[in-house]
Amino acid sequence: MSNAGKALILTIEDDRSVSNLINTTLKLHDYRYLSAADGTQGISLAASNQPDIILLDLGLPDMDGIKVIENIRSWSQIPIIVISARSEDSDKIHALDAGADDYITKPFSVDELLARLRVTLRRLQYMSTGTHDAVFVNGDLKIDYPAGTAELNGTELHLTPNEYKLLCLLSRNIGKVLTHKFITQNIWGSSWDSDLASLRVYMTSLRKKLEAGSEYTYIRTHVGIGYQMVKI
Amino acid sequence: MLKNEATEKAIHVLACLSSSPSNKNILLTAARSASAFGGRFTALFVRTSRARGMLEADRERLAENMRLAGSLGAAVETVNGEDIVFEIAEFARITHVTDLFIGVNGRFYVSPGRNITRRLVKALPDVSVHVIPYAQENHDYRYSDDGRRSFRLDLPDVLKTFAVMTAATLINIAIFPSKLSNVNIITIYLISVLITSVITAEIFYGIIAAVISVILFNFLFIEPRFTFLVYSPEYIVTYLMTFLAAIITGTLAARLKDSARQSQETARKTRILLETNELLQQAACEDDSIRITAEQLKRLMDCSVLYYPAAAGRLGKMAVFPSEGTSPESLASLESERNAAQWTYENNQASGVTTEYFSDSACLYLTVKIGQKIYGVYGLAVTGRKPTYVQKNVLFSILGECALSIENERNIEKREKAEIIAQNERFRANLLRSISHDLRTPLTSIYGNASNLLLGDAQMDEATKKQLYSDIYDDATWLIDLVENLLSVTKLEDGSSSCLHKSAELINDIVTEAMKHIDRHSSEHIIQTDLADDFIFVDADARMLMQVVINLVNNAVKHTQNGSTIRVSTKADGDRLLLTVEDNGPGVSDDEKKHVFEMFYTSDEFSNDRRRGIGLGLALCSSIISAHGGRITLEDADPHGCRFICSLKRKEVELHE
Repeated sequence: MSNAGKALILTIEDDRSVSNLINTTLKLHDYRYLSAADGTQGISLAASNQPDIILLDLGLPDMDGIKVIENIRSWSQIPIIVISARSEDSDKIHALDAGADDYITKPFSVDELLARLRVTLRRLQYMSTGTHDAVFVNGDLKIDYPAGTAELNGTELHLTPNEYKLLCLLSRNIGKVLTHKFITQNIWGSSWDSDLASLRVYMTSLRKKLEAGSEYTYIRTHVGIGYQMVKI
Repeated sequence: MLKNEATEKAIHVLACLSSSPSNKNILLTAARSASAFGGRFTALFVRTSRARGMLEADRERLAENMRLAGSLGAAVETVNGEDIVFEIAEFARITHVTDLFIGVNGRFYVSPGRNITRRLVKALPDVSVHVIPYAQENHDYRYSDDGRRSFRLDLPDVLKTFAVMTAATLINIAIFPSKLSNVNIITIYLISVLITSVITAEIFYGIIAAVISVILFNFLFIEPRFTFLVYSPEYIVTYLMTFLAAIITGTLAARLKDSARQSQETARKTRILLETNELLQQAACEDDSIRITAEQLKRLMDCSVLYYPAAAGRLGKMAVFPSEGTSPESLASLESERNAAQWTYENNQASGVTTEYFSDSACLYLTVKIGQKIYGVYGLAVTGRKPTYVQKNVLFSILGECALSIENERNIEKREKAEIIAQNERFRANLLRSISHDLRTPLTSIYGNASNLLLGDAQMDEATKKQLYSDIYDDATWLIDLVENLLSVTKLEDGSSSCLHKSAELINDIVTEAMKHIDRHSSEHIIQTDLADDFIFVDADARMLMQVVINLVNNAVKHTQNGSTIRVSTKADGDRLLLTVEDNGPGVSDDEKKHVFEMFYTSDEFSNDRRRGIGLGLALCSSIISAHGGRITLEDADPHGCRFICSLKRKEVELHE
């Protein structure tokens, strides 16, 4: 992890012991880190230091975490990982719809936190090396957008139009957790219960096709929230 | 005018209904009295056979008056009978009426109205009779004349009359030469007049038959024959008798037919009402009652039916019950008439087609109510066809039944809710007691181990430290599991499934995700999954269902030796799906099986975990599954072990292509 050593992580968290835990973890794993105890300080630190990733607690003393996301998104695309202590999925969904990239639920393990950071950094690296390429490559998966084809290990994948649309949507937002609503609205323009059921079926068959020819798990399910393509 | 001692006696105000426009005044006055003295209010209509001849406009007005009475909080009653005074008096006596309001026609100085009043006062010495004169009005409060005006010649009846007369004449011509007495001939004519009266619908035909008989008799059989002259005055008497016989039999026959028709209608009405009543009694919930009522209305009126439920001053989402051959989509446009329905709701009065208000609507809107409490509004897509008098009558009775049924169900629901709240209180107390007790153990261990590490770091060897770290980790994990379960419990504890975020979920997705959250102790066990190949959907809260799988697997891990096999499988079974968690551990005795799903029940037997659970896991599984309308059972596995089977209803979904 040569890159991780240089990455700067900003933690916006009011609880001192959780903040300590995160900072200790970051220090131990050679990240550079900054921390803010409230939203206002967090936003100003984000603006002045341009961190690579922001870890944001949703329950801040001075302002709602969603507001912080909206503020930062108005001027920057810095990846935001939300830390939520709230048990309701709806909070996470709101945060994701407001522009957060991923989330982690308290209580979380150190391994889980590090895994999220790694995934996000890999994605950042990928984005910086040319996001707008006509050809997308992730592990064994290769998508040729202009040709409208996808192949795995050099073998063409036989996808239905809906499966292909799904794959493109996920790959163009690699690393981001996409909510069910976001996906169904992008694919079918609506988000009814029947759309959700269709989404599950297509996602299952798409995943089967992807996993049959590869050792990697490309698509991660977030129960009650959505799906995410992982950068291998 | 109201009696003072009435305070001791329950006030019961009776208003007499009629089709007169000023009947409204009587109803309003009576309603004011009833509400001023907090008494019961009944509106009575006496249906005589003459009422059949009512003009359509009169029927309309009568129905409207009845609705008004209903909206003023009166119980509307109808009795059948010929003698109005007698029927009113009987009704008043039986129902202990204290105040009677009746209208009389003030236009006639010596009118039957005065007579009615006098008889009423005489018949009901204990009742205050309030007489309210009708205002000067064009409307003549009489039935029969109006009825006659609407009379039309009916071809089958004309033919019948003609046929009977011809037959009588032919018979007479046949027997005339035998020199039998003329009496026989006139008798045959008389009989033919009687037959005509009986087989035709109106008294008119009988009289015509009488006239024809007399003319034919005179013309064909009386000297001088083939003239209309009469020599003997005794024949004049015979003719008069013939007329009289025709009128009497005609009237009798008409009345007989009337009462036959009436009892037939009453029987039909009773049958429909009885059926509605029976069906409504079987209704399990409010929606059932609404659906059953809609079906009955549909059958009665032979038209599509709409329903708007009322809630907090507004009408809710429209429900449609299309009649045969009508598509639900074609009825969706009727939503545009919501204003009419809303008006009906706000004013507690019928609106829509065939009424004065919103008469250009396609539907007739009627309220479902008890007194002033309105439960909803039914719309009948009668498309201009006016409901007949009887239909309207039955209609209101059905709506009344429906309101009663809804009220019943709401009361039951209220009672059940109170019961659930009480149960929850008990449950909460138990839960708090149990948790605060059980939380101490892991907290003590975490607290103690952490302080040992802080204070005595230097003296401890690496192995000891490792053990302490691992204990802290285990206890924290245990607490995390407990907190997850507690969150689920709080979600379920309000007794309804309203806190569940249900959506169409694939059961295999849920199981796959749940398997990622199994205890780390499970690495000592062999865990297999055997998932169904097809897409099985279930309408469920994904997190809660995951919790079920996690708890069942963790339970198996905890209660079996290391190295045991745990098998999780999903399978479709008709319209249900089976989620099975099976182990090959020691199993549980039949005695224990009864208790495993009880809250705070913990087994005393072998447990691989060093900590006992608090008896929440399996109880929670059972609550979650039943909140999803399913069933969880425990049976013995083959050859030994436990098999937990959750049976849930599958969800049918339509997929995009």
